[in-house]
Amino acid sequence: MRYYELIEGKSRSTEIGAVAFSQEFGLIVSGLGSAGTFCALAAAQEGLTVCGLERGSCCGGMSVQGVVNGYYNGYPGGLFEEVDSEANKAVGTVYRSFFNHPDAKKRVMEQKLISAGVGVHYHSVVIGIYAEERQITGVRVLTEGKIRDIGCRFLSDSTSNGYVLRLLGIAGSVGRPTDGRTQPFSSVRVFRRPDGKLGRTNHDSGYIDQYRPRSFSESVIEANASHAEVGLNDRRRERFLFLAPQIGIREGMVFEGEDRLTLEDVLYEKECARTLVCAYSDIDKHGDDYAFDSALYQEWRVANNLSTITFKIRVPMGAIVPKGWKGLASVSRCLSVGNYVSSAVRMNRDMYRLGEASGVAIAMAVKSGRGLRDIDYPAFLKAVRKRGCFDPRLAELRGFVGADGGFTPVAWLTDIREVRRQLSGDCPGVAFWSCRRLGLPAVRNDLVRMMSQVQDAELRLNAAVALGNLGDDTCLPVLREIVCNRSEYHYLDCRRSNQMRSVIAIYLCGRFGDAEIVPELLEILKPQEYGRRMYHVYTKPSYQLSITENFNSVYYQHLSFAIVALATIARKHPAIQNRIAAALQEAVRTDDYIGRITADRRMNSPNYRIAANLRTYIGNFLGKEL
Amino acid sequence: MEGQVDAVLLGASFFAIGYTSTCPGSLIVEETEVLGNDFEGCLRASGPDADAASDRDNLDFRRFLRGKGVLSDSGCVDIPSLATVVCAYVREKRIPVLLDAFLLSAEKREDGYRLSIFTNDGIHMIRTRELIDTTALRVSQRDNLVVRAKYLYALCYRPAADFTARLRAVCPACEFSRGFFQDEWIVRFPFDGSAALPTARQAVYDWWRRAFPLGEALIDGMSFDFDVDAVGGTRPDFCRWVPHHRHAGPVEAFTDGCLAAGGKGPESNAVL
Repeated sequence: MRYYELIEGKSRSTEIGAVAFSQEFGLIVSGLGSAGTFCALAAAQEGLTVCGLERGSCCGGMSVQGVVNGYYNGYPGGLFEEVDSEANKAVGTVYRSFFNHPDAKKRVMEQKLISAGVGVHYHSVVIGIYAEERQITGVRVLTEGKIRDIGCRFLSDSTSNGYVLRLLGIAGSVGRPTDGRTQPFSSVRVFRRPDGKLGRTNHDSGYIDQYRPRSFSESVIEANASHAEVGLNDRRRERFLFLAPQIGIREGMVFEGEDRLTLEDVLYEKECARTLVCAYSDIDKHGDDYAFDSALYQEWRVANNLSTITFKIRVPMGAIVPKGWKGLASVSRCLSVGNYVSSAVRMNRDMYRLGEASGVAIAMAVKSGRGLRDIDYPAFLKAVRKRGCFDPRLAELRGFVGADGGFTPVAWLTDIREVRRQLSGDCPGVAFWSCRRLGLPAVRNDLVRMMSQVQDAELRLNAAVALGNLGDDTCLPVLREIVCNRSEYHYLDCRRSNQMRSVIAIYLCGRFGDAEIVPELLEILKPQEYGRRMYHVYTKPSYQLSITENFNSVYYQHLSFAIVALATIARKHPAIQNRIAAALQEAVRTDDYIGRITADRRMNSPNYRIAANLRTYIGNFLGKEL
Repeated sequence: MEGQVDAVLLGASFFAIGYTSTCPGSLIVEETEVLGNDFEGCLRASGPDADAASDRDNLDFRRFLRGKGVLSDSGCVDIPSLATVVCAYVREKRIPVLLDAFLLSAEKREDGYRLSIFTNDGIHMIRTRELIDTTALRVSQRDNLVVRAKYLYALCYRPAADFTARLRAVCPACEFSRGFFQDEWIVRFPFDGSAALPTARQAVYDWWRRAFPLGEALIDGMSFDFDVDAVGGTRPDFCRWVPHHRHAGPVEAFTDGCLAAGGKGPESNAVL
């Protein structure tokens, strides 16, 4: 038998011979969060002996300890509805009015786990793993201050951050490919409102690296401190009650699994032979710095302005199975998925259902002695469909979910007349993506004709963007015109985070490597650019355009996309590289540019960090520290 | 590579924060993501305590709390709001804290201690001249620890007039304290030392339902974890243990920490 542990970030294994376990379980779940709780519950209901280990002092994870108690994406269906229903019966009678009050919900979850026979152990963390020929046989756990060795036939890493996988040396990547950054994390405060109900608000708090203990701790403290700056206990507004004891991390490592779900699979709605569960969400990536995101994600979010289209996402069974291991699964948002996909499969309700479906699958695997991908799939489907957790809304493939939760289905366009109609308005996103699906040869002539329609300004400009999206450079003169006439004008496809057309044009010019746009982009880098009226139109937060307090998003987007476009163009045109490099370096020589983006001067604040990251990007481009 | 610090404080208690604010070469090791668990994390009530110690040692901290509006003229502390205020203080003073960090083992040596700490990045070894355990459960040596009692607290606002009597009728041992604001109450529910959290939470729920069947009083929030009162331990001389029940309030605990650190050696940086 081998023993695996993690020493200062490096996995180490040693041959140790036989081990006498103090107890044996069918399944050990490490992390009783959103997915882990329902995995443990379902597996116990399906007949396994289950041990649940949680480092905190309650189960439920982000929806309970993290107090992200509401829902905005993800399907209903499955065991969690029973939990919510029971918890909410006590709201207004025992607990103050607050949807899914965390104290109400944790009590119900705990009682359900215990009734199902799950051993619930808080203040418990897995510190080592035993395996025989890559088959998990047990764990070493620190529980209530004592170290114990416990045997198991199956182990679920439900820590959300792959902390158990890392013990085994399972490799993973973290963050986006360009700079390794992950999405902003959040700190939640709960308060009592003047109307007597409880409320909550979350502070999106910049970058975090949960795998570096000192920097992680500083980020958490910084984020939790930020609530002290908002005027505590203003009696007219709120009575501060508590901070969520668990910080909200949206993204961690992804690993190599037996199957992999990519962003392309999601956006092109790929079918999946052995689906574990269907999630339902948009690519809910937080953060304003999408100038540094990957190409496909930028095309979807920026160039097509479709960030809030929600999809049915089929998560394959093998996406929870680390490649080459037996008796092991990662049942949480830490999955074998491509970049950005984890943003779409981390919603509370989908995590509950993923946990439940995984618990059923693991029980079948343990009882049959097979691997997860080899279980009797028709029998699995029958079981999860009966539970209602597999795919509760068969007909919903894609659509816009409104602020009120209403669903508007989206159908991709095939009729060029409808494409033209939508390109004439301020919601052209579906038409853009439909052109992409139809392909350039099918739409090029029509789009070129539309681009010549000077009497219909919107159609002309949007047809140019559509052509730009398809990589046809006949649109460049019009795109340059959009950049030169830049403004705060933005599309309205989405309920939030819409894109400005001039930012899209900058992005596309950059992607074309267009040297002719360089003089105009260099103007954007200059301090006097900030004097334009367009950067001072929004004085209050705007959800539609993702404008937040203390952050000039209109200026930041133009500046950040101009920087990235210039760097891309410079790589393609060595003759102007030095000129661009000098201008980029000059743009961030002092902190003045940060002051134009945010009034927040605290170096650890999220706004400051995002602004300062522009300098890091330019430094990387120039190959030197600035 | 082993990290080296002057002192390690186990538990991010107010004592530990006071100590490290005075002795910059020290490091706090905390299992949770919460600072000040000993009072605001468990919602432990605090009476007037700010006058309990000398002005010199806690003046800066008291000024900070007063500036944030969480310390009244009479010396009462707004316990719930401390959650964010204590983070702001730790940030301002650049106090080094390791969160999500569990002590695996502690070995006493001639020149101090060698600690094995489990973090999100695995096991790290830290050497320190001094080790002070401020956790209620004495994580540095739990063997033979006797947990005398455990408590859960509930915060409520504007309950029914006969609220204390009705709760006492179903849970005679519960105790009541006034909250920071008018009409706020903190109820303390006692349990025996062997109680588990799910059982205790269910008991509070059952008592509350019986006392207020029509929702005449509502719980705003409950302590995240038990407030533990423990004594004992196998090796009393192993390292200093400062359980939080020694202090009546967070300012007193902070001040005690400052006093304990007085005259400590030169700064050094924790390496992790």
